[in-house]
Amino acid sequence: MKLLPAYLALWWFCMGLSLGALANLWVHNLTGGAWGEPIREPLLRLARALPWLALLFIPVLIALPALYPWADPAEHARWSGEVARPGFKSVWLQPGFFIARSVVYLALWVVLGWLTTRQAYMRSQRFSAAALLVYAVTGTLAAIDWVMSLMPLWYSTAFGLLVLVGQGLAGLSAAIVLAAARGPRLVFGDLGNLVLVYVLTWAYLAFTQYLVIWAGNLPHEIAWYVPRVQTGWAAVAVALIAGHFFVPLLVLLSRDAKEAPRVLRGLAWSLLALHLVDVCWLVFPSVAA
Amino acid sequence: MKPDALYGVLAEFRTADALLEAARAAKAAGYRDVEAYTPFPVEGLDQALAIPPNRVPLAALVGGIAGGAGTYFLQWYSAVIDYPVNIGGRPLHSWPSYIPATFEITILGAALAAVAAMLIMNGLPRLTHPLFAVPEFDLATRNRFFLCVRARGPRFDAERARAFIATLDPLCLCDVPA
Repeated sequence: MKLLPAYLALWWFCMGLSLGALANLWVHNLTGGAWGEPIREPLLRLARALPWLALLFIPVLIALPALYPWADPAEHARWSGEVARPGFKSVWLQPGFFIARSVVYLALWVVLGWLTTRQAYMRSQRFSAAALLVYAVTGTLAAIDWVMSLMPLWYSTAFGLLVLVGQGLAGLSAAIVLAAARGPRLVFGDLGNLVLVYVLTWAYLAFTQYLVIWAGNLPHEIAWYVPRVQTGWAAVAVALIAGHFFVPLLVLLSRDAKEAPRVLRGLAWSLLALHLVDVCWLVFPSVAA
Repeated sequence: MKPDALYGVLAEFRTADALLEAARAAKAAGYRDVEAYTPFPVEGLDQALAIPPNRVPLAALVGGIAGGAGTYFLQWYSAVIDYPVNIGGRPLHSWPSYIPATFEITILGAALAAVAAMLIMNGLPRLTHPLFAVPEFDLATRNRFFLCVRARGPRFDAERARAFIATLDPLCLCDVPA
């Protein structure tokens, strides 16, 4: 059954584009500035896919036991063994409760996305602030439920924020790719700076999470990293460090590169591809383990 | 120094947009040596003034690389060469634990180099400036926007500069004595 994890990863990637696009729209509503104008239309276009993406999650909900070890009663002993609060985890990871939560996240996102496309809320600062708060909480919980719980033994408090930052970067990159033909030079410099901020934040969080787990060296914590850095996946990890951090950093240090639409567009394409790799790197090794 | 030497011709504007328009007009009219003074950063002003690139970013890059490389070397040298200690069975060259300090000192090196380069290149700090002789200039820190056409270069003509600035419809137009 290799199809389901691939489906989950691809779906999570597309969902991330849509949610990240919305998050960037809300941030622009709160800050204003010329940088957001040329990408607003593409961001809204990405956000309009939300209802269909929400429906496409149904296969995952139907096939829970095939994906998640905690959904299989026979596996219970294997994953509830050495965690801090097995009682809480056993309650939190009940299939019924899990499905109900998933439906709530998806419904909230669809409603927020729909309101964002309405004239009344399209540029509302108050609505955007509230929407960002809701997205921060539900996005974190969804990342923990749908991706982190593939390996129920493992937990990381930085995981949710790390996923949100990756989604923001992916949504912005997709919008840059779609908008690359339009917009003055000035705006591209600002967009390049924004991409750099996302890349640096992502790298900082990803490394912090790794460093804390590496330093602690506890069996149930390193269990998540061992398949990712001590098997063939290590090559993917190196590719992520290079393509998702070092290359964008070095390119975006140059003002000329930032202000050249063609360079920024190429970088946005590569970041989109690497975000897909990142999502696979988060999902697949957990399923195989 | 001639007694009537000019620092430049100064124009005052009420809004940031008026200043931006004036800066673009000055650039279009061929004035290359133009300065602007605003109470807050104005988006797009550096492009409108066509400020030539400077070496501050390069200094920051060099400072950052020097700080980062130096810090990494310091940690590697002390942990591997000078005083190797077995800590929890980890390899002597445990790179993950070197990254935080390397990162911090990269930032510090870049920031110090950028500030030093900025001060060296713009001649600050200085005790006074010709612009302070203009009474209205105090408002540059409050709610007014100023554009100054510098009196530099052999082709500068004060009369023509004043006539040009007058077409921009400024609140006031005055000479800045050097």
